[in-house]
Amino acid sequence: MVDPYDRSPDFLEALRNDPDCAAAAEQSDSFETLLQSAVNVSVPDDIVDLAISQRYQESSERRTMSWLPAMAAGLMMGIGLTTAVFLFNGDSGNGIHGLEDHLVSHWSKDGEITLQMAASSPMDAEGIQRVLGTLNLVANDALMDGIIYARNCGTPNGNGVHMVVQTEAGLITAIYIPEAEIPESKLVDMKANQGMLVPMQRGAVALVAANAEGLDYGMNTIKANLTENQRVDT
Amino acid sequence: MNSITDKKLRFDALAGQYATDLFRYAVWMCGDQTLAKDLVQETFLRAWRALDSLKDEKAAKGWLFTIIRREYARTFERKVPPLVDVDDVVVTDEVNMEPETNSEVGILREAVGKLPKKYREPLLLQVVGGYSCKEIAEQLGVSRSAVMTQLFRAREKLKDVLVDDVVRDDNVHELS
Repeated sequence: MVDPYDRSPDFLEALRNDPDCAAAAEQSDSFETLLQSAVNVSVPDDIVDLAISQRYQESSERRTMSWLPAMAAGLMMGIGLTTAVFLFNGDSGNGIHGLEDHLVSHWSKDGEITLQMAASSPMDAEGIQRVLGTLNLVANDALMDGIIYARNCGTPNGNGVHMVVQTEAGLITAIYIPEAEIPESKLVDMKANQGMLVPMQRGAVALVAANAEGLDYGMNTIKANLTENQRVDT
Repeated sequence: MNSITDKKLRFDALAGQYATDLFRYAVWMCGDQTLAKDLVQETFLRAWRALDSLKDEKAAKGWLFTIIRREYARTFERKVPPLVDVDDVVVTDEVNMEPETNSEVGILREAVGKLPKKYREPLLLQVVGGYSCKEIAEQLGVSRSAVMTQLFRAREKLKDVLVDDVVRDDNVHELS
């Protein structure tokens, strides 16, 4: 059969009335199932991220070209400032400033696309629990009802979980960062959105919401309903 | 929403929708996961640069497949040896298959890798890309009837390989 996906009225008519046609179609369907399995290629998890990253590469190339003179001038000042900041603040990538940078960069890389994907293809509870389980996380019902998407993501010093949560104030993003240590909640400048780092029993959660209500929900609900199961060493 | 944000959103949506199919297609065309990744990245870099020229979102899929086909022809076609060990690049959901089906899939997979390009390309556009005969004809710049012939012959060749294998198996059973 040349076009096994053909479902034209003529074909359907023949399928109903001609047993030979029906038998041939059944044989063709079995072959197509085999063929689909044969061409099924494992796809790297990061293929979408890699595709999206091409626009950053292009943007950064352009920025580099147009800002080259300014960069050179700023470099000298930058070295001085960085040295001063480093001397007076021993903050590492895990510290609150490192986490702020991570949140801004993580969000600019795939925050918007993840929100879109979550909105168009929400995951079922089983899939979400499987992802949370990779880090021994448990979401209570109050939170579980709201999570529509979860996937593992890179965070400073290890794997985290990137979640999208449906709230009355709209979709919010929550990124669980297990190896983070922050003393208290802190607002993060996210330009068009609102960001916040929230300390957890272990690690921290980085939140991004379109408004203060979403951030408020995230801070209260996620903090109270996302816990880490104690690992039992045998 | 400003135009650059709008452009980014359009681009990200295209990447989310088509990167996977383009990768699958590229793997079968060039026979190498790393090269296929490079091919997809190059395709999206070009797509980002030329996104303003894409006026109709419905044409996006064909547009991206055209870019990757040209990119493959330009960059890899002369360098890449024919697909040899498809097991290195292909993973199927074999654990859930009957052993007999599993073996047929393996045979078919190898046969797809060995199909001449003139048969493999339209077949992959149909099976991986989900294109109709008319769309494949437009992509490849040939007539619809030529595409239909190529698709028919591609499938006949694959079926022949399966039948040959069954006959060989039967002979082995008779001898033993």
